[in-house]
Amino acid sequence: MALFTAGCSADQGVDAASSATGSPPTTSTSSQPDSSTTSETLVDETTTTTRDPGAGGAVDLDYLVLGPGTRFVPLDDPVMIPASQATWLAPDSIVLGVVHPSGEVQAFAADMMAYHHIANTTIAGEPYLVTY
Amino acid sequence: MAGTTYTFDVAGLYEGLFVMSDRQTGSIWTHYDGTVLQGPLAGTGTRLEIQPLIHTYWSDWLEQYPDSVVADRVPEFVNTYRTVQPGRGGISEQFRQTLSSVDERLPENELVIGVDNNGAAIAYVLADLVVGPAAIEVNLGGLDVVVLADASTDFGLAYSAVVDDETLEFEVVDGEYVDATGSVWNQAGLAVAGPLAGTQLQYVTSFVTEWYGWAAYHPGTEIGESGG
Repeated sequence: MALFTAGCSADQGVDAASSATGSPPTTSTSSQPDSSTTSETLVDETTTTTRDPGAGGAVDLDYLVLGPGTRFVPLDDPVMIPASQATWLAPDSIVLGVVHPSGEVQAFAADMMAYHHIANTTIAGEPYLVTY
Repeated sequence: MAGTTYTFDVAGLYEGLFVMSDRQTGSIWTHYDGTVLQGPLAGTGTRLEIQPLIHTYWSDWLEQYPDSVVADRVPEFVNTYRTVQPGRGGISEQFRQTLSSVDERLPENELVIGVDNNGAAIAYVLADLVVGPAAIEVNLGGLDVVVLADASTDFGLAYSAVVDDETLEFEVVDGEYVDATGSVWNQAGLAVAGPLAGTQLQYVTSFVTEWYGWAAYHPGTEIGESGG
């Protein structure tokens, strides 16, 4: 589970990122450059293959694409309701809570996110991505 | 600085965890660290900026944020929602086949607080922590870090313990996270009372997760001592 700002900037190759096909103009945010991006590698110790997320098409990406029948539908622009109306939640239900620096808060029920896995949402006017 | 807003779908599995595709470029991203694995944005340095997400019980969340809103259920998917029991269950063969290695130091579904400071990684087993709020201090990759945890509600997040070039020392007093200045901190890393009230601790990449995924994406991870 993780939370990301979905308004995304590159620490290098900004032009490539922002000119990618059909990208809408940004509505947000000044993400912090992250110098660790290109130095981070995932090392497969069993085969000694180095998987470098920054290496582009050279990566031997052994991911398994889910078939159409099992594709999960993300939660897009979720409707937010007051806590008092969320009567299906039990006291010990797991939730994922976001506290925005502005003070705005949102919660997502893990029971829902275990299906959707992804929520494309807006918090305090900024695009956010919630994953579970 | 230029910025682009991306929206995401579930694309498939990689190292036991789902990966995402963005609708704008079709690039494949991890959902663990927000980096691009493959596609037009690979190699551009583009990544998502990770932020703290509080994993806890509904009752605990409401106690802290009684005015919170919550995402409503989507009627057409209600029959797909299931009560989750993180930390239990085992992983399916379909998931296992995407793992390049399995770290058998812990059971694959053990619920941990994973903390990563620029590649220095440590995981704390929630079930080994004291029941109730706990503040764990650790030096990780050269940074003094405090892990705020609560094993009774499956909560855990890590922050830099350094404020104004001084390392704060944390303990739990009367169920609250308190530093040596007497300031009281909440789960979001904000001082809510005391001399440092209003100060925000700097988030260190961390979240509650299951062991197999943490270990797959952090092959060298330490397993932390709970510190009682």
